[in-house]
Amino acid sequence: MAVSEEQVRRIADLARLKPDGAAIARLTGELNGILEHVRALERLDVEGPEDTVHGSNGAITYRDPDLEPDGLVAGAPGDRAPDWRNGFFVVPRLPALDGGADEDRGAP
Amino acid sequence: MARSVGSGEAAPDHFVMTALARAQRTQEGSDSLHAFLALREEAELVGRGTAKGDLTGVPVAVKDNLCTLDLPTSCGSRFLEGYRSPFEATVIRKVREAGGVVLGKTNMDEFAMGSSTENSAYGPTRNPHDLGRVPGGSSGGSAAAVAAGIVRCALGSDTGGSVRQPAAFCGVVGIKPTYGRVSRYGLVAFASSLDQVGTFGASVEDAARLLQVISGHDERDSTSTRREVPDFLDGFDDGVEGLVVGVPDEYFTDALEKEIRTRCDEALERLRDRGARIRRVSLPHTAYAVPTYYVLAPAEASSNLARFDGVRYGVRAPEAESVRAVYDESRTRGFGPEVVRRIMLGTFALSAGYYDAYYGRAQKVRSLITRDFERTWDDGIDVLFTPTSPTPAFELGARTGDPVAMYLSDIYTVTANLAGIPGISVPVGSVDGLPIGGQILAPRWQETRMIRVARALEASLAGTRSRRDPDPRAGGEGGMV
Repeated sequence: MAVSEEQVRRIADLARLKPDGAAIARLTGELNGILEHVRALERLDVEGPEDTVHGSNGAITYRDPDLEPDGLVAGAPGDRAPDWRNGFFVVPRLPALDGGADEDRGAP
Repeated sequence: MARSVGSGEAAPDHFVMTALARAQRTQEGSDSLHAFLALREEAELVGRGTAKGDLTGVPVAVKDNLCTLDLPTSCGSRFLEGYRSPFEATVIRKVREAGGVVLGKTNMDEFAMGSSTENSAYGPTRNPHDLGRVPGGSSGGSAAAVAAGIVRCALGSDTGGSVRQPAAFCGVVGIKPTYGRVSRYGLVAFASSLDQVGTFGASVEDAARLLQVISGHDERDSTSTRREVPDFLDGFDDGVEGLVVGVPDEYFTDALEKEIRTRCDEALERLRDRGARIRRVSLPHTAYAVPTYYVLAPAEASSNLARFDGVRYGVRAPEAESVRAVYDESRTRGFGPEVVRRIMLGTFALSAGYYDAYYGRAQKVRSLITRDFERTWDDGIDVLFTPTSPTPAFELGARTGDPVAMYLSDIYTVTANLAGIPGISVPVGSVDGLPIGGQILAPRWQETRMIRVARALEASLAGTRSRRDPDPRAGGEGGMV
């Protein structure tokens, strides 16, 4: 089954990307080429094996929840930010916030 | 190198300064390699390399997806142009504590997605053996820096072959350790179940010594093993007498260039001459490895790269008028075409209605591929020998228009990442002056055995020349130690 340009637009929306029309057409062709190759997996009988979700073969340990990032104290955080005031990173203001409602639909 | 600094024969910064001068020379002019995205300033390096350890005074090149405090970490992406990490990767700390000096950050395919280093937003690195060809990827800058004799060792990362394939293309040694052997803390994540930091060396010993320094459990990476790290050079020169070397039929098909097959056959003959027993084996699910990888790795990447949203890191679309527009426009502007392709592919594979058919199925096939290896070890095979890549270094631009052709560059290397086993690429000769790599794969945690076989191959091949041999005085006289 090939993916259509409409499906590629939907995938781009899910991925928080906004390719233009030409890019959608190109991506549709490329994704179909890759998926054609991936469809080789359909030939295999996969009844039986467990899922492998990790290269460590399940041997994962748990880390101490109180650990601090290593080396984070190399200078004040503000030394590494473009702007830093009163203990906060300062970021450019969104024009929409000056005009009223924002259309936040959630983080990617 | 480390010994001459430690004994006072050489000034602590002698080798570092020499390497910096070499690196600067190769960054300029029409024959530039463009191996580095950032280099330390000379003034910063004066007097460096005094810490006592196995790397005292040794310059180390570092792939640009490993977080450093003193140098930017861009991952070869416009998205992170100029980004400075507020913490450093564990492997960087270990190199520093062992007396090594980070010389600079090396070029790479954007976010480690690629097999040629042509996907770097800052332009490709060129192969020191032939400037019209790629160095391989994604750790192409590190491989080229070693091949050009700038440094004797370098760090890279290997998610599907990104250390071993460029090592093969550049005629150097590249090791991907067992998954969990080395901490991934501070390695910018691409596909977390497959990523592993690896090492390059001008010799097997150089790559192994650097691996020794960076290995071991890290409380900050729960996937790093608590197993004791063995001495990787134990029995280094003991040879291969009595070892059983498996040769999988599925790695020697029509996809393999004839001349590379010949070099591999010659390498196997040399192992046989030195007492190894060579046995044909079958890994029947090998043909499914690239399709499996190109579902799982993009799926993980699509999740890992969600953090690049224009709010917390790098590029931010200044004219965006809503939070959603900040995400969409920053990501569209910041990511290059291959990263977009993989995020799209991964998002598709994880989306409702397709998850079971793609991601779920690929996880099960990953198990089948892992079982193939386990059966082989159970049958008495000590290590496997394969080609590292089906072709030598290809010409710049030759595969950029065909993603699937580019992905097939990884056909012999992705299996080790899927199964979590260690692999090493070691030069086994050349074809038309271009270096060829042979790959040795071993069971989990058996790096020492793998390195011993690689050393035997290296010793058996002494004197073989490729198109442009690195300066014999590369990065310091007589090796890293």
